[in-house]
Amino acid sequence: MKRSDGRTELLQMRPLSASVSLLSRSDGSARFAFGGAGVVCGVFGPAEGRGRDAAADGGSGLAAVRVSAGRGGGGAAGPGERLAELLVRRCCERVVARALFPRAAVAVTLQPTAAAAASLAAAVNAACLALLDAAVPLAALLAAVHVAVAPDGAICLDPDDAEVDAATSVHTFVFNNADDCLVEVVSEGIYSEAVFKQATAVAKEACSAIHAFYRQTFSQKLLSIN
Amino acid sequence: SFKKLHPQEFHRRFLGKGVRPDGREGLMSWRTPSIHRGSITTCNGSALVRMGGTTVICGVKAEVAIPDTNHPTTGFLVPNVDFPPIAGSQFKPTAPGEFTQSISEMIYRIVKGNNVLNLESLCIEPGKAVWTLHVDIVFLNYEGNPLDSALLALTSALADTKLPRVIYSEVEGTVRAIESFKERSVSLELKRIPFAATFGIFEGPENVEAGKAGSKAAMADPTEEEESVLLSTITIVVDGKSEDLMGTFGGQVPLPLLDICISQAKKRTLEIKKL
Repeated sequence: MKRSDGRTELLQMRPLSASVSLLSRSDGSARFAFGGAGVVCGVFGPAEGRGRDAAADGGSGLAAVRVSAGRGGGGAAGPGERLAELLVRRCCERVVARALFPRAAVAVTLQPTAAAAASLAAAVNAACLALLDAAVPLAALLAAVHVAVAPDGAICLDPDDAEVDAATSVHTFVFNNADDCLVEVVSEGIYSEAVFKQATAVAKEACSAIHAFYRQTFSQKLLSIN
Repeated sequence: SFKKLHPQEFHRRFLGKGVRPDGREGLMSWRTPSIHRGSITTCNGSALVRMGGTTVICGVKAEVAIPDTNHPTTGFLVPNVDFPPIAGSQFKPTAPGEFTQSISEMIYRIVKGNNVLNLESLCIEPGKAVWTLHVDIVFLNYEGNPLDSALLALTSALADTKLPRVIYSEVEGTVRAIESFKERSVSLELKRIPFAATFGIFEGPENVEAGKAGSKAAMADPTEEEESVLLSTITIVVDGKSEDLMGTFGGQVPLPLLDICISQAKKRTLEIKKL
């Protein structure tokens, strides 16, 4: 069967590409792309946090993670970007070992590289790689992927824009490589519980493949230093 | 004072026995909502929902608009969520912050497109006039679980909404109400009725009964006080008519626990539907 961009398998992701340390001014940076949908991420920190960055839980004063998401096609950031920021921030906060630097802030800035809809999954992956590149202590690695369910019930991994528009539901899953825990999930559309379970299983497998891809990316970087 | 010094520990001891600070028995017990419809006469539809201390009002105002040239028969449903300072001291009278915008965005994703209402039914005259429904959700008091109460208010207000029967006049280029029919107004037909069920995820002690999987546990319908001890929340939106799921938002959930939450969400939907 053929998908809209020429792929033959439903459970095939677009070619993954990633690079790290591409920006000279940031402490860490990375670019991650599913095919053409890519996001560049710059990480600054941990640095002195401003008063309002301190977490509101009073006691431990854990570091905050600030995320600003630019829009691919230009224009002011709207509620869609705010939700993306909130999700990336929540995911990062769960893996960054914030207790090691209280009252500090880590700034994560995301910029989609294509005018097409910014891929939330690519943003999470880019953020994770950039945090690694900045040597921010992490408890685990994150991998995110989108799954779309077509009107005929077919589950497509890493859908492109055309498949997303035609889908009855679109899901974004984020898994870490430490435990059997779903770090984050956002779903919209109409779907049954059975389909959701299937999509979750498909996403989990894809995320382990992405984790392996991270290892590859970093080994390339480390080998090239020598 | 123990509560103020060590909120985590205070709550954990109670949650270990399955008791909630507001007196509910069991981790999977929900606050029963009370719904009052039609209280705002200047709106086409309205509903006031109270869930424990959380109070939210939703008003639906219909306005005639020119449709998009690419979709000449499609009307608009525009939800908006607001947390004015009256809802709680943490809300300031400035531009909507991340919290407010993210709730707004989640509500929008649940009701967008033809998920809840067939937007074609809002057409008055193809290419010339369609209804725009402005759905304004305003919190009057915030005590936890904004998404469930906001969505309940929205669906109740939409069910209460009546649009006047109108006809497009070619000559005048405007829309006017029809006087001759016995029934002045027509109710909206909702395709699906979404109900949200939000669970809080926290580090549970070993002897927690319902909702346990590994070391994390889930509690249903967290209040604002309980929110401070949560690691995260997960919201599952279920359609009241077909039992399909219409949205999932949240994280840090072990997969077995997610299954438990989904079945609890479905149960909850069956109970709320009756209201």
